Amino acid sequence: MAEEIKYILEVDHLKEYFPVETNFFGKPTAFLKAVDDVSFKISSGKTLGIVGESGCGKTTLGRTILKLYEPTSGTVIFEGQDLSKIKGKKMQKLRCDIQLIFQDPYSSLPPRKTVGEIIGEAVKVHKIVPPEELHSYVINIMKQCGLQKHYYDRYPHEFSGGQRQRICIARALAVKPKLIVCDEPVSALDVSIQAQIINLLKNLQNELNLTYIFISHDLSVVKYISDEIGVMYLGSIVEKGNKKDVFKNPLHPYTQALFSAVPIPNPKEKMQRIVLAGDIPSPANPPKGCKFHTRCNKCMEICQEVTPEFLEIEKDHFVACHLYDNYEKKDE
Amino acid sequence: MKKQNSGMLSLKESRKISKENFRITKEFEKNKKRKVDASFYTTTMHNNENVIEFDDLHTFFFTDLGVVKSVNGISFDISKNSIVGLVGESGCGKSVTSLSIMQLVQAPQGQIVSGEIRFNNDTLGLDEEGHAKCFDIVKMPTDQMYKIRGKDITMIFQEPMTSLNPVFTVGYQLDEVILLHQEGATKEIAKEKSIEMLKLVGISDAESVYKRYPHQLSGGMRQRVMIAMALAGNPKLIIADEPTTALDVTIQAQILELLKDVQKKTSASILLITHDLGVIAEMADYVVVMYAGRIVEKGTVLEIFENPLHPYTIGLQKSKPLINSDNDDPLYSIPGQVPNPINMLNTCFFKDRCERCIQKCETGYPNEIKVTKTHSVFCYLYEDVKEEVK
Amino acid sequence: MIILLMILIFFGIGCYLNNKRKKTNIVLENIQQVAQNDEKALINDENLEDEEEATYKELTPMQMVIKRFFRSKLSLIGLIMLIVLFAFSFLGPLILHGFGYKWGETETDETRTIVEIVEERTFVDSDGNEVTTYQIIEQEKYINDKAAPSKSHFLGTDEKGMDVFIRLMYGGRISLTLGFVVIILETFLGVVLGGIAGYFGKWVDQVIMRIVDIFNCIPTLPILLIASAVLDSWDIDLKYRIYYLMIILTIFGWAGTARLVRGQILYLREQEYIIATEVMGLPVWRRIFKHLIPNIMPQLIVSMTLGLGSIILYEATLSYLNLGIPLPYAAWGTMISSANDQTILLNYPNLWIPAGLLIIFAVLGFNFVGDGLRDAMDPKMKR
Repeated sequence: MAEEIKYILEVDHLKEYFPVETNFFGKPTAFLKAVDDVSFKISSGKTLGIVGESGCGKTTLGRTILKLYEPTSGTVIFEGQDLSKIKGKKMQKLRCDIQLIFQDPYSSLPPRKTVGEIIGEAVKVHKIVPPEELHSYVINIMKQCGLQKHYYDRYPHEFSGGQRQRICIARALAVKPKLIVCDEPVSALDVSIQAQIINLLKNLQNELNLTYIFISHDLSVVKYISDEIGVMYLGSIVEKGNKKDVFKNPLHPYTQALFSAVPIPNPKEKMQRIVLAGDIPSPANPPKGCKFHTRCNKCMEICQEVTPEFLEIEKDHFVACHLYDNYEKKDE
Repeated sequence: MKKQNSGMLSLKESRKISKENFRITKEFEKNKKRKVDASFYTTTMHNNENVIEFDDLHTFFFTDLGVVKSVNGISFDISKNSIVGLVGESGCGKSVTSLSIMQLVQAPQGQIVSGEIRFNNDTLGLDEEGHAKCFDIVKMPTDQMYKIRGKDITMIFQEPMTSLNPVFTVGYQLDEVILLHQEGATKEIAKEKSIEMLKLVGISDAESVYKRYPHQLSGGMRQRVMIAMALAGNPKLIIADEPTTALDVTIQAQILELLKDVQKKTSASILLITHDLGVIAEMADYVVVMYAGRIVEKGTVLEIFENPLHPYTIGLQKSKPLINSDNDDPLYSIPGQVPNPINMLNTCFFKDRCERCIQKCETGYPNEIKVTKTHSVFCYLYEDVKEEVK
Repeated sequence: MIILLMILIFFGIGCYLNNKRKKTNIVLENIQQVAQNDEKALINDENLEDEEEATYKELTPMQMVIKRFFRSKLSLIGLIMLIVLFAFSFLGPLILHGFGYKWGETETDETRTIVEIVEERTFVDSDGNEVTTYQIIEQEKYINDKAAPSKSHFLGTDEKGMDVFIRLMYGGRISLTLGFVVIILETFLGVVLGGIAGYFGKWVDQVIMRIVDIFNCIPTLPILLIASAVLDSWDIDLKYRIYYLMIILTIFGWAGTARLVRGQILYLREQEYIIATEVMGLPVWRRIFKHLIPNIMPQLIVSMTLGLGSIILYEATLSYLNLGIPLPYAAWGTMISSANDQTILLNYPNLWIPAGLLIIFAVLGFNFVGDGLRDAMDPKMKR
C-alpha cells in the first residue's frame, strides 16, 4: 500500500472527447479529441511541466484532472482515491486538495468582492480555520504571497496583473491544497513580473511541499520550474521524462523542433533552427498514424499508418515515435 | 491642475480637466484637418541614410483623470535597410510610438503634442546643402497622411485573427491595397501582383489561398497574408507590432525567418516591437529599450546584449530563465510594479525599482549619455563613463 | 402654492445632490490616495514586515458606478424628474391637505351652484313681426363639475366634480406603485426561470426557453385587451381589479427578463472566476446566490428601470381603453380617456393635458435614468 501512495497523482489512459457534430437524434458523430490517451504519475513535492502549442489540449488536460470536465474514459487517482467515483459533499471537500491557477489574472477574480472575501470565502465554507481566526489566517496567507495587509478591503480592479496573480495564488493556497494545476500562470504578465511570480511559486513549493502541474507554452519557464517534463502534441504526450534528459537529449522530432524554435536572447548564439513546415492539424480531425507525421522531417512510411507506442527508451524517459522502435536501452 | 499634484481630485476638478482636455484636443483635431501648403510639413533629414528619425516625440493621452504621457520625449533613428527592435513592458509606450508614425493614435484623447517624426521616402530630392527633404509626420494633415499610410509605411498587427476582414476573401483584400496605392493598376494587374506577394511570403498554393476567406486559414497563414499585404505597397518602413506574440513557438520561428527573408529581398526597414528579448536578439540590428514612455537605453544589438548598462535592461535580461542553462538559482526579479502613468514625478522613472539608485536619481530625468557612437544610456550611474570615452 | 411646493422640493433635491457631490469628492480623493499608496507600496513591496496600516477607504465598484452615473447630465436630469414625480405623488396630497386643500381622490365637489340657462327663441308671428322670447331657467347643480381652474381647484374639476389636481397625485401613486410591483414580480419570475434554464442547461433549458419563445410570440396588447374584457365579465370588485392587472402584466412581461438572465448566466459560467468557485468546492446554492446572481444585478437593474417606463405606458393604455383602473379610482390613463368626449377635448384641456404630460415625464425620467445606469455599469467604460 505504501508503495502505491508514493505518487500523489496518477493519470491513467485519460481521454476527453468533446462532441463537435451530432446527428438528428443528438447522438454525437464526430469528436474533438482534446485529450487522447494520456498517462503520467507525479510524486509528491515535484513539478510536472506540460508544454505544447495552442490547441494541443494542455488546458483541457488540466481541467479534466480537476474534474471540471467528466473524463470520457480513463482514471485520475489522487492519493489512492479514484476521483471519478467520488461524488457530492465528499468531492467538494476533496476539491480543496487540488487547486487551479488561471492564465488570465483579469477574468479569474470576481470584480465585486474584496480581496479578503475572495481569499477567505472557501476557507469559511469549508471551515478550515475557526471563524474568529479567519481574518488573521487570510492576512497570513496574503503575507506569504507578497500582498500587503491593507489590501484586504480593496477590490481586484485596483491591482495590476502581477498583484492579481498573487491574489489568485493566495486564493488557491488558502484552502491548503496538496496539488496545484498552474494553467499558464505567467504568460499574461510582463517579463519582470513573471520572474516575481515564478520565484513566489518556487518558494511556496519549498515551504509547503506542494506538487505542481505547470502548463505553459513557454519552454524556458517550464524548464526552469519543472522536475519532469511532458511534451504534448494534438492531445497526446509524445515525450516525457526528467527535465535534464528531455532538454539534453530530446528524442522526439517534435520536441527537437520545438526546442530549437525558441529564440535565445543572445545575438551571438543564433541557433540552428529546425523550422517545421505547415500548421498544426485540427484536433477534430487528426492525421492517421503518428499525429505528427504531417510535419515531421524524419517521417517514415510506417508513421502514416501505425500509431507509435509510448515506450520507455531510457530510464524514466518515454517517447512515442517509430524512430525508436528498435532502440535498446542504454543502461542495460 | 495645481491641485492634482496634492493628490486631490474632486468632481468639479475632474469636470474642469475634461473641459480643458476637450479644448486642447479640439485644437489638435482642427490642425489635422486644415489645408496647408506642402512646404509646411516638409523639412530635411539629419542623416540621409535614415528612413525615419524621431526627434523628441511626445504623445499624450488626455484622460479625465489627468494627462497620460505615453510617449514622453523619445529620439531615435531607423536607418535604411535595417531592423530596429523596440523592447519594453506593456504600457511603456512602444505601441503608441508606432501608432504615432501612422497618425493612428486613438483620437481625440490621444494626440501627438510635440516633436518631429521625419520620414524620408526618397521622392522629394535634396535641398541646397545636400540633406534629403522629407515629411514631418507630426505636422502632416490627415488627408496627406492617407497617401503614406499603407504605401510607404505599413503595419503588421499582433492579432492575425482580427486584423483581416472576415467577410472578404484574402485576394479581395490584397487587391484593394494594390489598387489603392499603385497608379494605373487594373484588376488583372492587381491580381497578378497579389499572387506574387503571396508567393513571396512563402505560401506555396497562392492561387487557392487568394480565393479563400480568412477564417479558412490558420493563424500562421493569416500572419503571412498580413505580411503580404504590408509588402504590397513597396513600403520603405514596415512596423511589426508584436507580430509573433499570438503565435505558437514553431509558427513564430517560421514567421521570424520569413520577416528576415522579406526584409533582405525588399530592402525595407522594419521597426519590430516586442517584449521578447529572444526575438530581438534573433532579429534586430539596433535595439531601443523603453520604460514608462521614455528610452532608457539604445544601442546595437551586440552592445545591448553583451554590455547592457541601464539597471532596467540588465534586470530585464536576467529575469527571463534561459532555455540553454541549467541554473536552478532563484530568478532575478525587478521588484515592484510598473508605475502609474499619471502624475509622474520629475525623477528617474525607474528610481523606485532600481537597486543601484543613488541620491542624484531624485533630481530629474537623466540626460542621454553616449557611451559609444551608437550606444547611449539614460542613467546617472554612467556620467563618469562619458568623460572617459571623451 | 405650487410654486412654493416646487421650491421646497427643489431645495430638498439640492441638499441631497450636494451631499452626493460631497461623497463623490471623497471618492475621487480616494482614487488619488490609493494611487499614492500604491507608489509607496512599490518601494517596500519585498519587505512587508511591520508596515503601517493604511487609513483610507477604498473605492468600491458601487461607488465607481455612482461616480460615473453622476457624470452624465442626462441621467441627473432623469433622476431629478423622478424625484419630483415621487414627491408629487406620494408627498403632494399630504402637503396639500396640510395647507387646507381639502379634496380627496374620489371626493366630488358638492357645492351647490346655480346655473342660469338662457334660451332664446325667435319666431315670426301671424302679423309678420319678428318676436324674440327669452326663457331663463335657473338650474341648481348638486355637484360642481367641469369647473375652471381656480383657487379652490388648481386644475379645475372633471365631469364628475372631482378635483383634477389631487387626482393627478393619486393617479401617480397608482401608476408608480403598479409599475414597481409589476417589475419586481416580473424580475423575480424572470431570474428564477432564467437562472434555472441557464444554470442547469440541457432539457430544462430547452423547455423554459421554448415557453419564453411562446410568450414572446403572443401579441401583448390584444391579449391584454382580452384579459381585461374577461375581468369585466367576471364582475370583479373594482378595488381588487388593480391586483389582477398587476398579475396579468407580470405574466406577459417576465419572458424578456428570463432570456436576459439566462444569457448572462451562460456567459458568466464560462468566466474563470466562476470556474474558480467550482474548483474551490463551494456548494451549488452558494455559487448561484453569492456569485452568479450578484453578477447579473447590474444588467437586471438597468432592464428594470427601462421596463418601468413601458409598464407605466401599458397601464395608461389599458386605463385609457377603460380596461385598467376603473372609475372612480384615479389613474393617468383613465384621466386622459375623458378626452374621448368631444367637448372635453376641445373646451376643457385642463382635464387631460396634465395627465398626458405626467406620463411623458415619468417614462422619460425612467429611460434617462436607465440609460445613465447602463453607461455607468458598463465595465468597458474605464473612465
